[in-house]
Amino acid sequence: MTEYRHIGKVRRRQDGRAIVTGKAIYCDDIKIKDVHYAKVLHSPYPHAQIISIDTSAAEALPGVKGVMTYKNAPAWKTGVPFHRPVMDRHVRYTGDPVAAVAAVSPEIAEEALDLIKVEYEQLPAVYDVEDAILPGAPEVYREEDNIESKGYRYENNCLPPGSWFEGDDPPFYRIQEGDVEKGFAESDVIVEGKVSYDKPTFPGAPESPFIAARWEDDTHITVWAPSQGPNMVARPLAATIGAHIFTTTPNVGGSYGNKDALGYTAMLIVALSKVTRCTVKYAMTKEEHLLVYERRLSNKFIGKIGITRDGHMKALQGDWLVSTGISSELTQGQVAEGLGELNLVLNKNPNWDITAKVVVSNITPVGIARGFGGQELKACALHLLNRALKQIDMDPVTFFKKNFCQAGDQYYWRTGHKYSNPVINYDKCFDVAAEKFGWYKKWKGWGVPSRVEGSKAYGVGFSIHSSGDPQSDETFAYVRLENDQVIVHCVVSEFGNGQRLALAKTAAEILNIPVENVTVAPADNGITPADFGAAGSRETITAGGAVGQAAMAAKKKLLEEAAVKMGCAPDELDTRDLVVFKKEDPSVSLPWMAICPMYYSITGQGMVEGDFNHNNCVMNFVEVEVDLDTGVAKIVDALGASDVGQIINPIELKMQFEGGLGSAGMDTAHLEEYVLDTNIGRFMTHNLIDYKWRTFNNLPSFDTSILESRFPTANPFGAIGIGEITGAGGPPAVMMAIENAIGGAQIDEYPANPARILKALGKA
Amino acid sequence: MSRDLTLHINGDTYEFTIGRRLGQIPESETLLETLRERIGLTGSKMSCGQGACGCCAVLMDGKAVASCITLTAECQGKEIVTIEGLGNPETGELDPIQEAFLEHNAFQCGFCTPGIIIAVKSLLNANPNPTEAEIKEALSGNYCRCISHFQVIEAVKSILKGGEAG
Repeated sequence: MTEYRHIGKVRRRQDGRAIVTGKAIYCDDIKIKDVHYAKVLHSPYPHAQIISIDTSAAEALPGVKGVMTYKNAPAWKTGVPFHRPVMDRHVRYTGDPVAAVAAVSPEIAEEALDLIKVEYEQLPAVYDVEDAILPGAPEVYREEDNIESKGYRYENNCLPPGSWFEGDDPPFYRIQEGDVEKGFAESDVIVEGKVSYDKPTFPGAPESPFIAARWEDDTHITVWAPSQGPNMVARPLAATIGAHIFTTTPNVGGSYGNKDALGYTAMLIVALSKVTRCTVKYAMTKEEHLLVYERRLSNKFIGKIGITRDGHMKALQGDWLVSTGISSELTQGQVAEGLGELNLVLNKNPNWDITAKVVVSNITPVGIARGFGGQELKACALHLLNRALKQIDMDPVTFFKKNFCQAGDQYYWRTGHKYSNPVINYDKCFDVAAEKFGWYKKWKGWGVPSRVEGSKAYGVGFSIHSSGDPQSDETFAYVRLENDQVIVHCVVSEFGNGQRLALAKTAAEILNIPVENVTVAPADNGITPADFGAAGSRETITAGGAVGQAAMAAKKKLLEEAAVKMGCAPDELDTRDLVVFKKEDPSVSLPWMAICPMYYSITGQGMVEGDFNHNNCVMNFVEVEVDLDTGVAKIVDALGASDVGQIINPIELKMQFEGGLGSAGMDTAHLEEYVLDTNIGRFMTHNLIDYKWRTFNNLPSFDTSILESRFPTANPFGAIGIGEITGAGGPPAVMMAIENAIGGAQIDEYPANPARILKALGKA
Repeated sequence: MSRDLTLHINGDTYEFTIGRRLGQIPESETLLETLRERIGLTGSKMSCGQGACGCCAVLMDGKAVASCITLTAECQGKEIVTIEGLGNPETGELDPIQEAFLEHNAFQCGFCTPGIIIAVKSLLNANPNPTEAEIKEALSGNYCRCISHFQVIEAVKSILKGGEAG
């Protein structure tokens, strides 16, 4: 194996010192000249029509710059397809923006909200995804909202299927393949049922969403956004409103996919800035973040699965009911990828008939989050499958190894077409990881605890996740060599995963220099070329590949220019530590400073073309402890496993695996849920006292099993990214472990909180 | 009515008056607002606003407090140290806790990191040689959504081993 200078080695993050000294800049730390503060009046009702709204007293309050309501808001819309207006007379959930104020201080803006008089006519509300599609259910949108895409219209609270993922092709919202009736006839065991992962959860970060906007002139806007993808903030909105948007993204205080696009919030604040003709910043409070900001998708799966006695999938049929709240930021895209992710893990199944519905209801909208459809669908569908595996008495590791997509197999991905990777295989990963976790020692059979100590029962669970996104979509980059400095331009923001360090290492490795000589330019789409953003674990390959190519191109030019000066051919030369030298006689050399002196740039460009033929994979092994008296379940041991091709950042990679616990990953199985009061249509757990996150004194032991098979990806070192999916397979693994710990009593509703566990045990 | 207020922050003394006029500190202003908006010390972060998450933690007379629920008007005469004040301002030398966090990469997004470092400092001020269980308990009021907990614990343990209390 090649030994690298930086790749795979521990290097300090370049922003590390700033982080530990408090000097690191996050959006709300920036002083923006002449900024006004936005505050938003939210609907107190889950569903209502505004009868009248009077903002005159608020507008008259000294210090108030302006007020926006549905009356003066621009007629822009966001969502898939466009359906969510900036503001509307028809308010659709508790928290829907009714008015926004810009004022010279947050206190005055807040006071102005109290002066706005609104008269509402309350309307009946609907929350549950099954209730919402019943005939006669309250309609969240109406005929006149004119929601349409590719010939499909909004109907009975169902949004049209499909998103821009399919391009001009038909929407991908179902898999119909083979003959399920034939498949069931060939099955030895058939299970049917409904599993719900429909209690909404909060994937949010410690740093609440933030947007600041300034109209430079009628067609140029500067936006400050803590985003994973500055272009995802800028491009769709710019196209909608016909202006150029430059997004500036400093350090991001956590995202987990959830602050990827900031679609609605960015539109709201750009609109407020336009209406009030001032620079506006909106720093959401944590209460707003929990109550009104885009949450994780929730869903139910009602289906039927058939398998043979020797563990082969024969048929899968079902309805996937997806709750998107009042709107979809990209829910249909999550449906497409969720179907692909189920298809990857049950890849050997020949017979499919599964159809998704994206259903609106009067609860908080759904946005982007790690796991992105597959986590939620598989939490349900794979849990139902367990019933069948129990009947054939086959352990899940053995079963999934038989049925998982292998090199050369075809799988569906987000366009609705099939893709295939000819090389990447995870067979070995199953064996190595199972051995490291001690799976076969701990596994005692379905519904059998691995051990019982007094009132504490222990059980193990397993699950697996795979995504076709790691090389998705295009990324462009360029690398400049100036004197002794290398500057990387690739619009990758830092939200915790160390990707900017990976890019610095990539350039340093190829140019054979210390990492300290590399600067990664700010994640600002005004100074860096296009990139889709950090989604689907793609940037290890796409940004890494584009920066790698750019560094190689810059090196080639450097050697060419050096060759002229040194009177030899470029291929006789190499470079190390900022010196170009003759390979045959390194004493013949020229420092970079002599080739690219002051005020001189050597620039290389790179680009990776997206495809879906590189699927990643993460396996989650967990052991839980259940207190049989109190019903409290805890993960006590966990192991995350993958083959990542090549490790780039060892510590950061380990931490990505550990991060699969929180941010609505594994912990959605048993710890996290919003509690909805259906009498008032409001989440009751809208602060961090009531919506608890995992704490320091509640940690399992955690291990990883990581292989490095050097995959033929566009990453220059053969790496494949896995950051997004480290917890995506977690929920069904935890649920499986809990059921085994409690002797096989069934729980078909997430999360397995103490009440549900005690009920399953017949104790409540 | 206005009254004087003297704050000692990171070794500097700040003279304010409390009142409702322009430039004065209103009684309702939190210490976090004063630090971030008036003094420009943005290392302490606003997150939950309820003292539940620890992102805004600062040392007050050596002990960690949630500055988002502490009123500035009540800080008369207190010694306040923020994340910016932990290192040596003359030499730029970091506090050993900060060095250990760097050495162990004990952060991901870094938003909660200042508060966690302050909580560790508070713990070590009171108990220079805590057990692992005591470290976890002392940090149980600091949320970290990225799950950097494991590296944080390693970082804290590393200074105990190296220290006199070893």
